[in-house]
Amino acid sequence: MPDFITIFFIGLSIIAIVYFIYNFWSSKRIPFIFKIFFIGIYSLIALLFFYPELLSIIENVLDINSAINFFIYLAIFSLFIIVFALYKEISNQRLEITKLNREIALKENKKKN
Amino acid sequence: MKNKKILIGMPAYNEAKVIGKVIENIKKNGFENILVVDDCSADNTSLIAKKNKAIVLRHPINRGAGAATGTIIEYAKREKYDLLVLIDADGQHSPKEIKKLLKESNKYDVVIGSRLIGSDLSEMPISRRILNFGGSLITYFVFGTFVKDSQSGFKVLNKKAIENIQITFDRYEFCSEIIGEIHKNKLTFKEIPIKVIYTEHSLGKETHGQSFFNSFKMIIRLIMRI
Repeated sequence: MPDFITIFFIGLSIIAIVYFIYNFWSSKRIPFIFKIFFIGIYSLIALLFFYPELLSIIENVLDINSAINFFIYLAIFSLFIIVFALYKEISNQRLEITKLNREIALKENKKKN
Repeated sequence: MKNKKILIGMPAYNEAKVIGKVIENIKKNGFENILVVDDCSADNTSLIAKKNKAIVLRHPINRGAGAATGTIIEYAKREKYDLLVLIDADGQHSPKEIKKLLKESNKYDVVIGSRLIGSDLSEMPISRRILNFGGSLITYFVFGTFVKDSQSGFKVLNKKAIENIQITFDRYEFCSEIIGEIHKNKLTFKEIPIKVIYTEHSLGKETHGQSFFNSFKMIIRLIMRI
């Protein structure tokens, strides 16, 4: 029988995860394809945490010696996607700053005239 | 040409030493509408440009030569200019050659002043020759149009070009982006030989985006944009 503290922390973790997924899903800035990709990966990791025997199914399906290798490649691929998404986001922000900068300069000139 | 509204636009950053003389020389050649976009200089560039009766727009934060050129094009578009002459503020281009470029603008949407055709290249530092050629090659691979001097800052744009060219690069990659925009919007262009005046000031500027390291960064940014 788990004690009260364990139940409390499990409950808190579930609330935090649900809150994180809700925020992630409802964000308008993240493209839909990224949402599906990352929620898929995290769901898979959570599933393997609770059912580690699924690893052997993955090994059989992909015909590899260790499913861990597959996850390492997947992690590297995910990192590339994250870096690309961040680069794109920063580029968009830069563009917005430049536009704002330009508008201020043009409006200041109009005001003076 | 006489009835056309012409704007001479100069992106400027820390050009207080030379900007007054450059504006004066342009005026001597018969052009009155001179726009200086001061990209948040730390010196008196704006003040000196204003004293010389140029129109001055000042960026509140430094964004680079591409951003300043974008502001010039936006201004020309809003004020309905017929022709826009883009010229460097460091005095490396001779204002006497503006008329030569304008003459060709009757037949072409964009006229590019080329430092690499029909002129003596011995004065141009070898590192710049390599960088210019490399820039043109990269521009061709990325944007699909080969221009001998793709990195030239001396250009004339007609109304069609002013309305269609959109600059999104903030730094020196904008020169290549203009070539890309020419290709994308099916604009006509011609390269005209020009002479370049290399002064200690124009050669000494580290921020000029023409060092090997800056050029390398420029190429990376161009490739990342594909």
